[in-house]
Amino acid sequence: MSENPYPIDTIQDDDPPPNWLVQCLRLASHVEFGEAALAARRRDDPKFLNRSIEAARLGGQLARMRATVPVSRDPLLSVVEYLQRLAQAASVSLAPIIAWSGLDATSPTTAFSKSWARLAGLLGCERREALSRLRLSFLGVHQPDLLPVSVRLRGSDAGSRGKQEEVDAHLSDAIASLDASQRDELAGLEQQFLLAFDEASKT
Amino acid sequence: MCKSRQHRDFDNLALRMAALEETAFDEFGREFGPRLWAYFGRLGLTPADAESLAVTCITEVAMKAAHYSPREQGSFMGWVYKIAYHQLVDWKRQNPHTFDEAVVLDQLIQPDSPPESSGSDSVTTHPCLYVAVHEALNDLPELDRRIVELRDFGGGYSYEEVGNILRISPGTARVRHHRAYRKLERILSDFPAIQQCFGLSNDSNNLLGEEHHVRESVSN
Repeated sequence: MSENPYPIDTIQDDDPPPNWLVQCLRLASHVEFGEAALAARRRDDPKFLNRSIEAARLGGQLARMRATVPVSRDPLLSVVEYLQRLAQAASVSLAPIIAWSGLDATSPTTAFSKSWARLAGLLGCERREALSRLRLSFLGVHQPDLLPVSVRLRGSDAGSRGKQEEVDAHLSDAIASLDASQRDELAGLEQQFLLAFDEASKT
Repeated sequence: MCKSRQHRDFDNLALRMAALEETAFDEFGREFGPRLWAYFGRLGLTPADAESLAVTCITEVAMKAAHYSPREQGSFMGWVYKIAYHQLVDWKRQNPHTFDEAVVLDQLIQPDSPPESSGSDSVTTHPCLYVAVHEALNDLPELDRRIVELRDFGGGYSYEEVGNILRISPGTARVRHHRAYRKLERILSDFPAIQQCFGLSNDSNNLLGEEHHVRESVSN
């Protein structure tokens, strides 16, 4: 088969394009020129331009943090501790990222859970690891005596994968020791997290 | 600046963002913020909602720029608009009562007549159409693309004027324009959104099909 199915010398005037193609190009050109005129007006608005530039910079900071994820795998860090670690490694300020993501730094709630899921998905964190950090955040508030075990694990010479399994096993024990209402609350947060994480990962 | 040059500049901007070059992110926000605001505004969002969604989209694209691949995803601009379109669909799902579909159709279709057959979800089809056309244009040889831009996107230049601008003969401009239409027809008829929007059946995807042709569009 020839590379060019429509060589110039075989084109005939009596082969006009279909109407749908002409309509299609016309619609697209209307959108393009209408938008160009609107966009040109908006470029004169310094407040909006600043907001756009800040949004792009924020995206750049998140991209830098994402680049540090593969080398920042300590499974013992709660959500906020982990984000602090990533921000430090990427040399970016964490405050605007916390503000943008809507993460409440003190108490994990449904909103916190969803926000963390979305951010973790965007940062390219592993699902299991991100869930573990949510549990650590929750237990940090409701089961503060987790700390001594964390310190013991910190000294472990296991690799990150083995360490993650060790942390997960410990977290399961700690969760079992919560009272029923706290366990239900955490289960609800985890469910919200998993749904939001899968949704974020899809996009 | 001609569009093909602009596309190349944007592709280069994406590479600079992927390399985490700080000034590239500023440039991206400055260039695409107003574009996305206008895009969402044209698709029926209020100015405030369009601004909010444009800013969200800017952050998302800036963050994902490292994933952009010209070979796999076409032009950077087309890729940005695809992400914007998905954001709009999500937004629409979350705000079903504030999305004025009548306004959208009115803005997209006027002042000329609408397509002969519109799909059931025209609001989401037309943004797809817009992206599809730009993707298809990117697949044309540069000279052919510029001819289509001047003829169909640039105010309807005559073949003589196109020839003067591009330093080719009017006859060559006409023949290449015709050939570009054939290629666009072949590419665009494969897009489900185009098939849905214009009611294309498998039969009408036949490039040699004779129905719905308009002679006047390729003469003059």
